[in-house]
Amino acid sequence: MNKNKKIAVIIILVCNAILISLLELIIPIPIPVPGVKLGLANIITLIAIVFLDLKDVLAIVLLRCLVVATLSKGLMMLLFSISGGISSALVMWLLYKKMFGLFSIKGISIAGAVVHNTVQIIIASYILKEPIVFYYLPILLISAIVTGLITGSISDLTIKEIRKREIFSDSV
Amino acid sequence: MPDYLSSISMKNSFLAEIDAGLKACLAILLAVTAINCENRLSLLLIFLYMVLTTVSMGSNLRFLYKNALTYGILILFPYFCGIILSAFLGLFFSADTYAAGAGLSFAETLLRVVKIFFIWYIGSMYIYSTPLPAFLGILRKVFSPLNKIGLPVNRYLVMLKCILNELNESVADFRSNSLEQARGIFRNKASLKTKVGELANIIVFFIANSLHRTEHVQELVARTDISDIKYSLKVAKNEVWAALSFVILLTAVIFSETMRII
Repeated sequence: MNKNKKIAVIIILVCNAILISLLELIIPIPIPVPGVKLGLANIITLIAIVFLDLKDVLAIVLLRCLVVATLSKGLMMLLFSISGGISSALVMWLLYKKMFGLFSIKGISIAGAVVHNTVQIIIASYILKEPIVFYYLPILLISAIVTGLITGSISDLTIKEIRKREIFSDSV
Repeated sequence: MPDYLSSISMKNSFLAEIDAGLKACLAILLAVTAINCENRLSLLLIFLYMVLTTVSMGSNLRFLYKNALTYGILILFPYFCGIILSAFLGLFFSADTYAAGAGLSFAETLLRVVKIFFIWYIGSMYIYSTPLPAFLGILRKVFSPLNKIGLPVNRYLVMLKCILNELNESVADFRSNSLEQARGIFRNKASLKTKVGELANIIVFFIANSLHRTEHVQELVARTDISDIKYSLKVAKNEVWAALSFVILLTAVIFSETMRII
């Protein structure tokens, strides 16, 4: 794949991640806890992990966080989304590439959601200088398992379809 | 993130017209001032300044409310949940280990919570009131030295610009097609497994379609020139007013800090 084509694919995947997360507006969350969301953008991260290399995966996560912060939530939010996004992408990449076959896509997605929520709580605790926020972690971990399973299921089906239709091999 | 693109429309006001670089400096100074304040009156003055800035931004107080809500969900809710859970566990186990031993110092934490909210809000206000080209120009100016050590900052900025262009083009199409189809799925009374399967089909179809635009995006990247992303300082009446208002605030804050009025 030439460099320009790769850049174009990364741009398209970042746009897809942002647009797919709009679907969260209409999908009811099984556990209605403040701060808990499905994280459908994770589907694109998982697709990138399967079909692209680590550098591109990190670029997609970084650019997505920057664009979302620029367009909606603001600068402080960037700290949460980048730290959670990068660390969960790294863990998911390690699980998929280095422990091949041990974890399914659903399992990797759950691990990513767990890491994402844990890192966000660590950041909140660091900012507040209050370890008491860790009491909230078990609630977030339970919700991470549920939301990770849902996004993992969608990712699994999506990745299978992409492989079947050879979407990436056609375009990349 | 329902109306993130429409929110850009508020960037047409007094605050939006101020030079992005000067505004960034003022925002950083305001955040530093907020961090270092110990007096309640100083914090009140900063809060009033922020409300005034929000109004001058042409935005209603909904912006402030939305920010407070996001902040509440991400920071305050876990904190208060932590307090409640630690107190609850304290009923069953040793109180030293839980509520009492958790280092709860309400006044100090409350002050920190307020200061963090101010910093949070200042950051949001800067982003909301700065036109994207100017913001990208500032990013280029600040991070361009990293190019020399091999970090491709310019390439990422071009990509960022292309992403914003692409989003503008595709968001309406996505809303009218994929979003409506997904809405249809969740109106049906099918099982969750069926719904997830159908949603995956929509997403696959959407990804497959979007990848057909690869050539178009390649052309867009080739057309986007890094030299279009630029920043140069301009000083006019608005900038003078902004700097002056900040100096007045700073004087008032220093006065309240040294006199310890409240």
